Amino acid sequence: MTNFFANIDWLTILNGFCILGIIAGGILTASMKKPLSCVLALGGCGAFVALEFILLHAPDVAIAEASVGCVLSTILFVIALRKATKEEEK
Amino acid sequence: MKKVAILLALVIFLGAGIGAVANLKDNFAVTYNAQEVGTDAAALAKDYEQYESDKNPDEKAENERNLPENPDGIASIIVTTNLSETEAINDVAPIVFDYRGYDTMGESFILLTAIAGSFIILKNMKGREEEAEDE
Amino acid sequence: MNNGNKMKVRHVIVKCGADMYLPFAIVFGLAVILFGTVSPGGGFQGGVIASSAAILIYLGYGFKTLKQAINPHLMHKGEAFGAIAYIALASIGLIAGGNFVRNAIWNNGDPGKVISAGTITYMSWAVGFKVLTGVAFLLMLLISLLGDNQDEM
Repeated sequence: MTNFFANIDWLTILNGFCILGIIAGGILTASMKKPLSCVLALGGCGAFVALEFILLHAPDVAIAEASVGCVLSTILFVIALRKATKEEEK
Repeated sequence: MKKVAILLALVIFLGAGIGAVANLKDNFAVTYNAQEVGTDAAALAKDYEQYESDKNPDEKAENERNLPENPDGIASIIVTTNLSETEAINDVAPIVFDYRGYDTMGESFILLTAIAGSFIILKNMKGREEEAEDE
Repeated sequence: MNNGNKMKVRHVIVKCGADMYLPFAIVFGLAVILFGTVSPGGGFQGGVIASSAAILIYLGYGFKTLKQAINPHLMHKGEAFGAIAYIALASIGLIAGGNFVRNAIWNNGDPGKVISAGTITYMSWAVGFKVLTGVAFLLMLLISLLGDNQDEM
């Protein structure tokens, strides 16, 4: 146990922070009640995945994840949600 | 005009194909040769535990710690032969556009097909909505 | 409402945010496309980043201004042009006597420069142009579903 705590550096703490963020984003996405909150939680989860890819020395995948998974899919979901809610109001 | 352009493109592709076949008949171009690098990719794929255990344990531990200086395994093929074969210093670009060029072509044509299909469907949907509003 | 030439701006905060991030999005996306062979990134990522300019224009100024700024039919044709350019650049390898996407003219320039890796650079640019125009056209298509008279964002 002492050996485990002796080997901890800032990179390990950052990795653990990112993994906790991914898990929290996934749980929030599944458990939120409003659809808009689900979409925003999914975007946050994508941001943490992009950060984790940077820590794993894969900047190409990180750029792709940050641009597609974090921005573009969120925008498309929001547009679809607006369209659906407007048809409900009619 | 359109038919002439299509015919010209077909003739060019046919000529390129015939020329390529005539070239490939004598010397078939391989993208990389793994055995020149020092890593036997066939032996590695057949039994990787045996291949790893042949090495000196000290050297193995050192390799695991400093990966970029002395890479071994499948990664060494790309890392060591990339600069002499393609001159691209970013290792990912030749994988995406040279070694796996077919993948990139299919990926981009998936996008083209998806956009064309959604264009056709959504255009009809918008026209129908306007018709419904008029009624 | 009746004067169509006037830009409809509802929220000044959204408009200022769009004005602020629009140059960064375009310049960063084009830089990622142009330096695809020497730095992380490439055609697909840079195209998606640069095409987010369309959504920023929509958020700031509405759909009419977006339609004035970007011609959707030109985008559709540009995507087809990118696809044809990729195929033509890939078949240079065939003419040179190799595989279909073989890097044919690879020994031009020093490694580390922008134009150095032969057809890889030009294929990266072609894919970047194709994805930029294609995703911008897709976004405009989806935004147009929301309706022209409902841009109260």
